[in-house]
Amino acid sequence: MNNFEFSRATDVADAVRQITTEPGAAFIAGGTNLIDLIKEGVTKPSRLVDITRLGLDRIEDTSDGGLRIGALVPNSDLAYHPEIAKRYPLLASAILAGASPQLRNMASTGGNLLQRTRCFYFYDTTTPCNKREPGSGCSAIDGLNRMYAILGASEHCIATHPSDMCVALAALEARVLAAGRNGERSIAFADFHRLPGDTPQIDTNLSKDEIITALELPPDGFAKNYSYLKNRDRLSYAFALVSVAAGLEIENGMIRQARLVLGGVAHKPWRDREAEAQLSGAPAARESFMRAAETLLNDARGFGHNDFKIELARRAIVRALSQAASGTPQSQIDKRVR
Amino acid sequence: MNGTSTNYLGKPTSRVDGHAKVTGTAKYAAEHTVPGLAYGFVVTSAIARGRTRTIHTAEALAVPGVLDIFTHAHRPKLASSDEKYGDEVAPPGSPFRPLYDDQVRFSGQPVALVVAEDPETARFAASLIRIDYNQRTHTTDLEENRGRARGQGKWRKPFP
Amino acid sequence: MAKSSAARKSTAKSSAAREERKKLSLPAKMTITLHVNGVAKKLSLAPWTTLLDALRIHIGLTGTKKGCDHGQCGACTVLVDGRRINSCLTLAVMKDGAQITTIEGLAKDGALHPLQQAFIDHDAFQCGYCTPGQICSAVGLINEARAHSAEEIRELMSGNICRCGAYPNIVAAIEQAMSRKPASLPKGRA
Repeated sequence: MNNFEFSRATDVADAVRQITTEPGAAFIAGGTNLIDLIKEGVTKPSRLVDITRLGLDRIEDTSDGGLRIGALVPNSDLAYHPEIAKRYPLLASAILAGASPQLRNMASTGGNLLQRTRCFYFYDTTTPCNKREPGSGCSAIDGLNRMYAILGASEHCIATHPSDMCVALAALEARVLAAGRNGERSIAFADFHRLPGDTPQIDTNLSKDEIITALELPPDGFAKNYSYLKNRDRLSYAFALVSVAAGLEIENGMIRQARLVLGGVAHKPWRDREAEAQLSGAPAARESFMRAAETLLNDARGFGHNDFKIELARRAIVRALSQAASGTPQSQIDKRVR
Repeated sequence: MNGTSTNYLGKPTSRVDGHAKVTGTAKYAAEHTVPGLAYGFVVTSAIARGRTRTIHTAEALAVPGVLDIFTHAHRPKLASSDEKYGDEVAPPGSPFRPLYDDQVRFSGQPVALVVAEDPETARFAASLIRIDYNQRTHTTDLEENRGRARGQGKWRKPFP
Repeated sequence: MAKSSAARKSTAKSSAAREERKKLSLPAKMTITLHVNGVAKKLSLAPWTTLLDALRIHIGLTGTKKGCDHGQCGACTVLVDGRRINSCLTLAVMKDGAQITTIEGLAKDGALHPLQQAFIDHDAFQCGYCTPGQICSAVGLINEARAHSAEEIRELMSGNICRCGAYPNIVAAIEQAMSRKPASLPKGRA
């Protein structure tokens, strides 16, 4: 690792002050991604500001019937919280599909949003990478790109966002609360992560002077009809090839509202409003699900080694929506996909 | 044999090192502490084929706690004959000799070894080493290169 | 050809290197206290020191193992304030004042922890390198009280890899240890 200074933030204002007075400073909470990146030489902060004692670790009701989750709540605490299990089981399921129990005990809610891609070329500092060094090139496009994007990519970057929790948060239309020099603001989840475009080096729309303080979930958790289906090379402890977060509101066999978000296929959780609109008003049946999959994957393209993801995504979408419709969400313990 | 029972044959037996392993007292290779124990970090090649023209180690050597940095240009004497690197059952061919010369033969080939007083210092110093390469093109496609294979494999029927 | 180390040393001590040495300073050490297996340990170490290296090198408790050093194998699992974590991805300075339990702290007055005994009884290891991490992780698993079947044990132990493949015996050992707990914890297979 590089030789960084270490200090602790005493409150949110102090955290903002420390991050803005030193350009090379970075926040550290769980450290499960950041320490790894520093060990690999991918990032070299001059200072780490410990934010673990800011007290942003509560889960409480909001006035509109939703839930506010402190940015420092560990992933495991969040997944097992009774209110989450009851009202937002899609979120709990997605969290438990990711990482390992040890990592879930360490990782923070805010950190999960800010984790960086695990693209091998991003990690390998001897290869060109536009995310690490803008303008140097993308080694993945003509390289071993089996794990990378089939949607929303650009000629500069085909990396994917690795989080499972974020796929569920996108489906639930969470909001990200941030505090910075100019005060506090609330960012819609869909606007938090970016597509690579011409600026693959920028992952999110959070400003350098801002710290995530909390997430807010709206009242609707799709707790009756949901599923988080994750396809990966191993039964556990591996990133998604393709994952699907599905949420449905069904009345008399007809879909009233649908949420459909994919993980493992793009630079951010991939939500297609057109596909969701097609599902709305349609029967909760296989034909509707297949049509939605076609719409969502219309612009999907592979880069040679990840072409299989398109068909895999098609089938995963249909299966996840079927599971959601029948009220039999994918179990993260019993790995059989029924 | 008649029905005589035995103490150990045919019975599951706990491993003799079981107690040490489950209590964390079993010592593995990296855990025998001696006075002045040093730690190494391997620097590997950024290219797959070519040679290391210059390995800049001055900045890394200046890090407090770094004891030495070995490269092909600075290392103990190494044997030059293949026999010295193998034993009686070693397969034919020339074995890989770490830090032997400036040739890079594969991606990730060790090209330098930083030795320091603690592992983090060794890792940090290694990050300061800069290497100038003369890079040659490499190929990894077996099918494409089948025609260039030397010798022909002989297929033999397995014993019945 | 190889230069002698004396020749190299003289090169390193050139004035250019002396200038570099003045610019390159290592992080200033910080003083922290870790409560390891009930014993307070005062340490002076650089901020970049992981909890894993602090335990193994600074304190000399080598029971916790470095497998991958990147949070992918679980061999470094220890308990911090009762929770299982990967110590290789934790900075020691961030755990100042914390209660840490390592494999060396599980046996009490020479009597093995039920999990340690169960691992022996079920031959839940071969080379033994993953074993301290497996056992500490299993202690955390039992504390969390969310595994009530072999399937759940397997999934909730997925953060610990065993290259020797002792998994079936590890699960059996954990089931044995769980079944010895007081009646509040459900037994073995669901």
